[in-house]
Amino acid sequence: MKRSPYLISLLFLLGCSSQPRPQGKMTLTINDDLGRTVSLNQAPSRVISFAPSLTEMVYALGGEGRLAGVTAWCNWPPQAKEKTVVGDMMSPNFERMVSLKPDLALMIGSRPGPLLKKFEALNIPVLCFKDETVADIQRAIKVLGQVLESPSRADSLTREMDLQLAAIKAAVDLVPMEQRPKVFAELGTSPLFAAGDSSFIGQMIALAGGINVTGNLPSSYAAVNPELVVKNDPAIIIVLHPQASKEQIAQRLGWQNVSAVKKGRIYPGLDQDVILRPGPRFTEGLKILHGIFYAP
Amino acid sequence: MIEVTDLSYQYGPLKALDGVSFSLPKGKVVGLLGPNGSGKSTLCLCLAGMLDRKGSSGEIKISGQDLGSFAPEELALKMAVVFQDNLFSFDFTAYEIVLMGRSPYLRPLQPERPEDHLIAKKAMRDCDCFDLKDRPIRSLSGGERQRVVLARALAQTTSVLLLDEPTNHLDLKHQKQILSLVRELAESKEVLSVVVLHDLNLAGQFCDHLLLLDQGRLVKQGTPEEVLTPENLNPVYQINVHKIYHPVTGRPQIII
Amino acid sequence: MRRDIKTWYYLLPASLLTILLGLASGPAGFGLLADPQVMAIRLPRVLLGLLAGAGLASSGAALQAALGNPLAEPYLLGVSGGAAFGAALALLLGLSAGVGGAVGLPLFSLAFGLLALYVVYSLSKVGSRLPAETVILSGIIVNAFFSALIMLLLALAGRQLQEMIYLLMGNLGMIFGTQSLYLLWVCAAIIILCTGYLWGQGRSLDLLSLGEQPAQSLGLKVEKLKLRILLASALMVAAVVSLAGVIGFVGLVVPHLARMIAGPKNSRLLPLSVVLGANLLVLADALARTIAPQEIPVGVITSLLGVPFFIYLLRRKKRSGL
Repeated sequence: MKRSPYLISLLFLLGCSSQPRPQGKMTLTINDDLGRTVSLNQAPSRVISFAPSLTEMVYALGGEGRLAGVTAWCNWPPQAKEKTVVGDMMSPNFERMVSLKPDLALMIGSRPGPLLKKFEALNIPVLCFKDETVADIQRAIKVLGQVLESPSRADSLTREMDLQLAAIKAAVDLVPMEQRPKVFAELGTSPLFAAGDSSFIGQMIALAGGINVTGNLPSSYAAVNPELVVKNDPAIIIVLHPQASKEQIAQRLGWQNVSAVKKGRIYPGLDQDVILRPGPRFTEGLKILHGIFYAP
Repeated sequence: MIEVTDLSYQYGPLKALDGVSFSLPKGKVVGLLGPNGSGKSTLCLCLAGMLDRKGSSGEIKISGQDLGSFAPEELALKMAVVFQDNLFSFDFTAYEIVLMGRSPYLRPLQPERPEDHLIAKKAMRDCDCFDLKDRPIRSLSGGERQRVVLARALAQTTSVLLLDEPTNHLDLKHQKQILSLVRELAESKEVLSVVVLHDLNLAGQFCDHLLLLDQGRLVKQGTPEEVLTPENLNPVYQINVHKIYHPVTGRPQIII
Repeated sequence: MRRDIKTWYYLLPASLLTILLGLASGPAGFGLLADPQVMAIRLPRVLLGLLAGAGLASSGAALQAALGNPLAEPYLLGVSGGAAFGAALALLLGLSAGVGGAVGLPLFSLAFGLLALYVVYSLSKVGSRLPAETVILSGIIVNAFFSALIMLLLALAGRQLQEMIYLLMGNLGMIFGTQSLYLLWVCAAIIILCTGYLWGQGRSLDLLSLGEQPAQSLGLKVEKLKLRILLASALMVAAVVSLAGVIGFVGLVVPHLARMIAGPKNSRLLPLSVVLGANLLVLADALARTIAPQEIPVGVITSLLGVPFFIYLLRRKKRSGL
């Protein structure tokens, strides 16, 4: 669907916030990840992003001019930090949001929640994206590409992702399962927090050619007994929180014989923004992990 | 033995005791009389050293020593108190309660000695509650509980006893028994007992000395013969009383 | 209802059994495993369970006597609110990171716990006295205040939310490193010393439970003693909360159970409470570790089991006519 820039600017000049949007020719209908159908009468120009991953996507698609509000956690690219902060999913600042007169809100969610209902009550169109798998990321990029009028950039982004994924997959596939390193991803210390296979980090580990020792947890994330780590004997420990240093982990009681401890393969201080964030840079995270797992 | 000079006690705006002075020798049974609000219980608590020094003025001396100079453990060796209300939160047996009366004589980790048990048992027999000894204290009636608490005070073997309305829940038999016991202690062991009483006739029967209080002031003190007269009692109790004499003991008795 | 020596004949072997059960339970496999590394993880945990159970039970028993109230429990003094807040704050500030970080959180927790106690003390002082009612009221107020603060921290938490929740639910799963093991010894020292002191004051506790005036008439320096007992209780609670979070019910129910077996005399009640508390908490934690591969906070188990047990106690009391 093509839109004439002239018409858009005309509408822009005519349509100040207090006036109703003209019903008309350019209607964009999107189905978001929750199955909701959202109709936009024109390309949005005042977008609010409620997730750092979505903010990164907006910038990657060249849509920063349309971005009006972000969360306090949106730190990439650095310019994003200068945008107005509208709170975050846990504590949204509705006043500030409404004062920005948004015409679209972007949020993450796998099921409808009170935040969504609030937006609907305020008559702000909302697009909900899932962020649990690689497919989710790519789909979100494609949808945003449509909305932000840069579908070709979306295509090239996703193509690039596919290429990088394929490259890593090729390298990983060469390694038989028994030889792949066992990995423990520590997300917290007290209590010991780990991720299951269904979590995003769990998938990252698998894609990067590692075997998650806490893979079969009943939920995506859970507190685990340190015994499990000792029993499953990971070769690599990646520390995804700031509260434990390599020395601290090495002197934990009962962990002395864990392969990762014995060989010193404990990796704190990783860039969590590329490893944990299901955004357009996740392939960088994959490369980092792959590099750690298969270091010579 | 107990010397009180110009004792006053202030509960905020209320003056509960006003310039009370008296002197009590040992080996006597002294009755504290007066209508409700006359300050009897306050006086009792003051003598026991229970009330805040801040609200009080005047002097209380026990055996010549100022009351305030006694540490609680020293005072407990000289004076035992039976309070009006005895609320128990836990189910100690009656015997365990009485045995607590021996604690001023024991060091913290020292278990009770055979003589402590003897004294406790004798106290229970004297108060006619020995058969209750293994019963949980909270299962006893008001009167039974009172006898147990009295036994505890006796087990403390002090030279002074302060009893705040000890006969309240007791039946006639036990009222007589307790006061006879107090009398006997006064005569045989020179124990000074100060007993707050409602019943004027019990006071007349068993006391050597009476203190009549009215609105915080000591309006009359003396023997029962001197104090229990219509002239003294009518204005205080606001009722007309008549005085007669007990046919057997000859002690003054009051009827309304 | 009171069997003295016989009770200990049962308790000592039962305690050994409980300890063995505790050492045998865990997701790595049931049994005293050959792997010494797994045992190296389980042993401090069982020790912490014993200490926490003992500390909470003895604190509860002493408070019930000192305040003359069988519904008193260790968290009444506001210390648990303060200690929990201190720990949560340390989490939020990232104090548990870095060198010496393992001791950062518990120390912060202890500090705030003692601060809370000081506030309760100042609030409840009436002249030179510390009346039981004002102590209880002040404790409730201070706890409520810190609860509100904790909720604020929860709202600000973000990533540390899960950790804070485990703290508030009571969790023995603290990871011990060679550094933080010292904390366990410090905790042990505090609990052993304070419990020893309270046991030595057994008779005074009995007298205190009669009421402040009767206790004084029997020779007790009531206010001084009450202060010391509150302090001993509070120290134990702060130590337990700083390492294990807020574990509910143990401090309230265990003394009641012990009283049913041995009667209210504190020289018997205290040691029995200590042993029962230690055993029950280790058992609850063994259960928590066995029923799921995830860490289930032991406080959840004690609360879930504590409620029906409390109902049972209540019905027994009603039946025995009190």
